[in-house]
Amino acid sequence: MKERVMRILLTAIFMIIGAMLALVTISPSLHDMRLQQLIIFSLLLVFLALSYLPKFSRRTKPARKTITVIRCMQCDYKMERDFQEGDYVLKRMGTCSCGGELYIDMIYDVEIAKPLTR
Amino acid sequence: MNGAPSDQWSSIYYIVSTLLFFFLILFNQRIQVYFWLQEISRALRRLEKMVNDSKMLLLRTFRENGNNRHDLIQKINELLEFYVISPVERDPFGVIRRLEHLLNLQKDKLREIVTSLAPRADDIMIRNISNMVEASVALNTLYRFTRHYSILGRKTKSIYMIMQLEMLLPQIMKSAEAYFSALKAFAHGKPIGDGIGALVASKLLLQAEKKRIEDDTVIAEVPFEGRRLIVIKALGPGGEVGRPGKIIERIVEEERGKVGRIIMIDAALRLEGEKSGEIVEGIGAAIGDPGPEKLRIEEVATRYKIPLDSIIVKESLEEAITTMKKEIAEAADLVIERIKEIVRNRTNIGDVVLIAGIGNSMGIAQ
Ligand SMILES: [Zn+2]
Repeated sequence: MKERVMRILLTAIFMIIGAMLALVTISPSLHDMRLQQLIIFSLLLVFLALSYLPKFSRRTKPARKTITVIRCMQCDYKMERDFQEGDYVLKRMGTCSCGGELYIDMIYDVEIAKPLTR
Repeated sequence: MNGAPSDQWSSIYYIVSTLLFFFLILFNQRIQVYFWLQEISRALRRLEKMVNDSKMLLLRTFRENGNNRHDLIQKINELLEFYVISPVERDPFGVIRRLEHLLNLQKDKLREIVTSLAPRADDIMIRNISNMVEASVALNTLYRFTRHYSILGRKTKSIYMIMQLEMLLPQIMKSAEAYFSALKAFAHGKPIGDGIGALVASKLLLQAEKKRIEDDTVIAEVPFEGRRLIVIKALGPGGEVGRPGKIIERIVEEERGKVGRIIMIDAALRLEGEKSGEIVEGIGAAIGDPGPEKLRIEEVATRYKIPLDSIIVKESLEEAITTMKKEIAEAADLVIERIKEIVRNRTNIGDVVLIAGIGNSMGIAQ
């Protein structure tokens, strides 16, 4: 946090100085050769200020949840539910309505769909 | 009227600007270093928090598995410094055998410590906790090295040391986050991305009747269109990688070298920009061990001139050690189709075909 404040402060200071210099250079009283130098220098300061800007890269990880897929050995029955403690692939899960044996086919992670309003 | 004061102001500005200009020329580097150091200490704090959280997670896991010792946290601190000294490579003769020996010792030792620290844990839990400890050790090592170079950089005021560390930070943090989330996946015993090979093997083993277990590895025979498929995978559902190299060698010897083909399935590191769960076929021993297992497979395949096919599923490091993603899990059925294709087209009826599902079998039984 301290570092962010410092960066923003430095950026602000340079920006202000740069802007003031720019103002001075366009005032009508200045007609001498310093004009060019001042314009260049004020631009330099603005660019420098920009280079100190903190990198705003806060990436947020999408929420995830784990799904357990249960299948039947004989028919096409397939069921998905949330992962429960103790689940593992090929764990036997009782019998299907067709009489075949149920087992865990896969366990995997999915991203939870983000709500539309942000 | 306003000419004089404005002129005065502009000369003050001019002086200030010139001074500032030289100030920046002289001190710009220091300002930069200051920012770098700030960034490094922020990363260090984040790493430290992750290490502490991992210790707490281990502590809780050990407590849940029947450890009431008062000095548990001390034991965990000690455990996180666990190390293996790599074998001498200057004299390369037998270096793989020596490495194999050390790796076996490491595994046994770790399991022994975990068993003593978690007296009520069953076999599956002990394997999972051992995996947790390994991830914590990796995380702790990253933290220790980052701290070391950070302190050294400050002490020596070496801009290059600080710069190097700062440049490496994104990678360090990425690996650390990966290990940290791996730890949480291990605590629940969920399958991880690296287990794709094991998942493929387990799907093939679904109907197998007789299974034998040797060296933490499962071996079973499945008939397929007149061929004998011998499928191997690490023993699950605890976190285990088994000894696929040793077992493949043993089976080939048992069959007196009459193996039509060896097909290996493993997860492989994908490059940035590539898709997770992509399947690629190639040649060679697809296994990411430090060397011993791979060497055994290559040796035995060469000795008996057995074709060695491999199928890899691409994923990132983070995906490999955290809970398996859907797109990776769904690759398993496609891999099985590829295996069947290979067996149909490139082996003869009556052949023995060895199929090795390489990877961590956490959360994947047989
Ligand atoms: Zn059914």
